[in-house]
Amino acid sequence: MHEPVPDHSLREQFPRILAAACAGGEWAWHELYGAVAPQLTRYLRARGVPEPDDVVGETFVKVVRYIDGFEGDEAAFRTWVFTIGRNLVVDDLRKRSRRPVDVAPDEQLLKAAPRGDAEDEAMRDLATAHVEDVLAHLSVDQRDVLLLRILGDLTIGEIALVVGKKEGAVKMLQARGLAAIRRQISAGAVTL
Amino acid sequence: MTPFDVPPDEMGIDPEIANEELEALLAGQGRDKNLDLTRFVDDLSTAFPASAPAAAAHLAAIANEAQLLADKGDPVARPASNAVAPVPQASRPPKRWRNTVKDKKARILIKVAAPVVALFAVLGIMGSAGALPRTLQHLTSHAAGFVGLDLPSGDDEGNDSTADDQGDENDQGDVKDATDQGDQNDQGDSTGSTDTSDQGDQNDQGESTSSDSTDQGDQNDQGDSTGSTDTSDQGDQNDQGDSTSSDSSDQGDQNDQGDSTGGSSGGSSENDQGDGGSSQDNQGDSSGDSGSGSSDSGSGSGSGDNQD
Repeated sequence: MHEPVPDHSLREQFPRILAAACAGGEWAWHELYGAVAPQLTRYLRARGVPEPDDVVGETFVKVVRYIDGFEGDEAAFRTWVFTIGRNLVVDDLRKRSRRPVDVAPDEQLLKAAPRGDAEDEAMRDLATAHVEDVLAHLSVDQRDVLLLRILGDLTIGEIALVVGKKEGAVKMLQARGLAAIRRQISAGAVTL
Repeated sequence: MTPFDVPPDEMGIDPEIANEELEALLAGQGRDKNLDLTRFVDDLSTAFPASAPAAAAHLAAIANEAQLLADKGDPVARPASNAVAPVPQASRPPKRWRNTVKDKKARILIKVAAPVVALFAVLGIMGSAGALPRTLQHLTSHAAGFVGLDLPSGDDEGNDSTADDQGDENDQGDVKDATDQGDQNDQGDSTGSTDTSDQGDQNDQGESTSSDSTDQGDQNDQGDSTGSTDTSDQGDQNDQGDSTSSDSSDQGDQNDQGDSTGGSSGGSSENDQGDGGSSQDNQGDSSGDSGSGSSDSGSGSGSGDNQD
């Protein structure tokens, strides 16, 4: 069953909350963080970012720093935050490609450690392995678009802004990614 | 691959249909039509749940960053912070603004003060050198006197005996020349006690006990001795061997050699050798030339002209 994303949308409250955040209201930052951070974190995890929580924290520090220059509605704010987060990941990957680090990231250590209910844990690990296997057969751009669409809950237009492509190109990447997933499943390479 | 570089199994892909299918699936519709895709989306959501485990740490970092920016005077610290809930307002402008205001005042002060200081420095230096125009020099000297500085006032020019001795090169032995200007290689003036207004002598050697007055423009004048009463001798060049002459108003002699006992007052002689006056091309004259022409040919009572 598709796990419904908790509705943290701020809707008509957004302009008021944004103004309060710009003015330094701590409560407003709680609201903005709660509306965007969970989706950003899961997207970063699915992308295989070594330390997604750190990236989220760094992303919001940048958001605080540059919030006075932001103009737009809630969708624009989400798009902006995802853009910052994705750019941080790209920068991090570039740095790591220059200076490889062998230290095991927190995500791998957490996966190896026991986490509560063994049955749930086993099912989750199985699902994660299957999903990662399917995603591994996609191109980087196809994977990026599908993760932003499914986990980030962004529209085609918002994804286009985040990845810096035209909407038509994003739609094509999405369609080809879905077709590749279907092929993987029908070929029996992955049993879902 | 097809000639269009599209994989054969992607030929029938319609991005619009795929987008509508996925949108419906994410909205919880049409799940039974796309079972494979539905299961994949479910597994993806299960594998990566929406959570922010480090929310507390992140919010603390956000609050810290906002506070830092508030201290620096960024917009988050401005009075609009009571948009929703009242928060303590800053009673003074933000720090950055305060610094900017302070900097602006300092910048204006520097812009005004720097030219004034530079002007005083230039006036002071030029005033101490006495190089200012008379009026300005007087004012500067007067102003400097208030603070105890002693600058030349511009009124005391020409009072000392060796003042205004300008432009001498290799001037040796002048004792009492007053207003001696432009001497070059002037050697041996000794006890030439009353040279006054001697201007432009070059290679003047050996004058002794002479009393040239208003002697201007002599060049290579050698051996004047006891030519005691030259007055207004101007423009001599290569004048050698004058002795005991009493030229007066002798102007413009060139290559004048061997004058002796000439008592004339001619002017503008050229290549005059041996005459006592101021004739031209006159060589070997002795005693008695008294002409004043420019091409002297034995005028007057000259005797012994060799080349007239």
